Amino acid sequence: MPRIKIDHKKCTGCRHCEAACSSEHYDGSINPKKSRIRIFIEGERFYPVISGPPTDAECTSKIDYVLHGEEYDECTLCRASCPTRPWFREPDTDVALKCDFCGDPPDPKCVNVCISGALELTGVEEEKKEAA
Amino acid sequence: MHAWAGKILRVDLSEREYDIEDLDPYFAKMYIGAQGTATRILYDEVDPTIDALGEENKLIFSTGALVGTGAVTGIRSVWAAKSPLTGGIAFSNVGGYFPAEVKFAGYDMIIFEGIADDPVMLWIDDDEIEIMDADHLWGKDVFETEDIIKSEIDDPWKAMDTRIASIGPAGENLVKIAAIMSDKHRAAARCGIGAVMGSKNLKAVVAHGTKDVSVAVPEAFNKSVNAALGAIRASERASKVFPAYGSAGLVNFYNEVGLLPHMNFKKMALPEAHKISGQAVADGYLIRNQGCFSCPMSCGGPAEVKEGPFEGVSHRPEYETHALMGPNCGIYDPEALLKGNNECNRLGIDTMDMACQVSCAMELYEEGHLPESDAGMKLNFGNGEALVTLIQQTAYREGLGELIAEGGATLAEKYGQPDLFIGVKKMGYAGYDARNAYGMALGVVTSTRGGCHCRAYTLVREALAHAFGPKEMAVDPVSMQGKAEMLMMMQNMQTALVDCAGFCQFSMSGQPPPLLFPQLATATGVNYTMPEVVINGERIWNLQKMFNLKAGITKADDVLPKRLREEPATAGPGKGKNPDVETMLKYYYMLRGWDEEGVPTPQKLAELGLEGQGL
Repeated sequence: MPRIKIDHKKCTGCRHCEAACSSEHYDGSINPKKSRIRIFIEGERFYPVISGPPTDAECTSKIDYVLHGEEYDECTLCRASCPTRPWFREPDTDVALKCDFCGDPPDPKCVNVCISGALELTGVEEEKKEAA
Repeated sequence: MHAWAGKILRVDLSEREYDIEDLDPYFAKMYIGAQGTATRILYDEVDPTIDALGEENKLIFSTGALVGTGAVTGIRSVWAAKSPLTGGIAFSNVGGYFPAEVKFAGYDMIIFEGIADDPVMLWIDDDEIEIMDADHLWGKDVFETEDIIKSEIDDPWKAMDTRIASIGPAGENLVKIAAIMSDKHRAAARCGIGAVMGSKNLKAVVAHGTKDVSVAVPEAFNKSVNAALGAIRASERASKVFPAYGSAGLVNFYNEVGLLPHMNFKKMALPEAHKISGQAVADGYLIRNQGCFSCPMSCGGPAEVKEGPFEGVSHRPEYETHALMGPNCGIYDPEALLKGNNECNRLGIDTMDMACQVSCAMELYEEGHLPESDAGMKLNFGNGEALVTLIQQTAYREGLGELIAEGGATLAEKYGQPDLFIGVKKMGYAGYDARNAYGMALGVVTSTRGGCHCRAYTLVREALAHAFGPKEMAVDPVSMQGKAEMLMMMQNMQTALVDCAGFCQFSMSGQPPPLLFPQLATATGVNYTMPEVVINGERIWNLQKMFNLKAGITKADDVLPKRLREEPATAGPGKGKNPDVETMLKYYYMLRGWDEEGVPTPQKLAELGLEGQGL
């Protein structure tokens, strides 16, 4: 199965992926608020988050993560487009956004522009072999 | 319009009103963005003879044309005004995230006019503009200001996507070397631009934007972006060395060739430099590297000193800060450097001018001109704690800080040694010793904003090409031959194609001009040719020169500091010699189409479409 592997330790927070993603899905217009990948930035840490299936309502219970000794709400790194936060929803229409790997075969533009190596596409070769 | 948002936000702080104007497409094409558009507006609307800290000055934030398009490193923008430091035109370049957020809110430029009667901040949330009271922020440092503003936003997600530019106590106290800081550690530092913001009682500008930025020919644009990224990937220096060590990765190299100044430009090529190199900071203190919006080179990043007197998390300094705050102050302790850099960021001060003042104070002290009783402390070269104390005193105009805050040779004059301030047009000299690169000597002297190295980075050919290639680009650093031509070409091109377009100069080590031009042309959709873009740069340069001439800055100010003119180089290719800037200058003026006094001739102005703009 194609996957985008995220190594947050390599992410430099340049957000070029956000620009590339929105450009791909909006006929060349750039708008990070419409990107299906967002970089969660806090202090000196950057966490790329790629949108998954949307949800209609907020979770009724939550998990807290402890990362580098700091506590984070589950929403922070959640992949869902959810009514409780503006991420992964079009700001003007509220339409939910979900990563589609930029088509089939997968050609994710976020990975293409990521020079730091934080994003990597894996599992494509493996799938080709299986198909053969 | 494409790439440009097409709108200018004009804010009258005295009346607390604002207007939104259209950006004229022809104006945008001719002046591109950033310092270009800002220069023309300043030239047309601000009398160069006014008091820079008075009501008539205008403070302009102007984004580069490609900001927000995803062009590679397309983020650089400027804050511009008449400078309270030099008295000439001021434009201070900055990256980070803030400029892109302004563009995504739908504005290419923000023009601030007048003076608010009480401290205010400007909120921009797409079309919703508000001028709000900022009494509770006045007196706070830059970091506190950003934290407080973000904590006041109800929605934490929106707070995360909100970007802030602000001044610290230095700007509030009208310190003439104050910076405007954004994203906490990104500085629009030079020319004392922070004091202009302070004089307007404007504490902060807050931006949140959700609009699209379009490009004219997406397919061709994406191709040009990919070509540039490919070239950066292929360049060891751009994709490996720069992210790892930042621009300060060149400290060791520039020390070897005698360009890194030591002890207020008294010495060069001392072996201690390696202790304070970019490598030393990266290996010992860097937490991670960090990039501005759409920049793969990520030369910044947080760095931490874990214990001792300089403990704390700060940001990796840039080469200039390394050079001037380190070796030029005789400081070879990276921890003192990191602390000094962080204090400047926190209080909102230009690290370069601050460091030039400190190295001057240290020499005054060591030579016995400045008594310890006046300083209230020992000011010997290498004293990191004195550096930190002087930075704090300057922000609050206490002790020697009162003199330092006035910038230029104020401190040096007070102690009878004006020539110990190393600077040009009252601005502290950049961290490259002119005695080992004559093109750079001429460049700093002719820069339209003062003692600044970044209007044309001749060292690409005078130093870097010798060591890292391409060899055919290398020129003799201490020959005068061809330097005026080379410099003028670089100034014109860099102004338009790099600075106004919004590219970062650092990126040119990976994406040279032939890769920049297609990004600009396909994003804006303007049917530019490369020579047209360069002529736009020349036009902008001439306007800046005219502004300065009208402000009273003349040929007499196009002069190297006495030390660099008269005391011969002690190492490097120029050993035993000094650059003859006067000779080069004559030729440079002639090439520029300026008269012997450096005044653009009516013919030159007419040729550039600037008829009737002469003195």
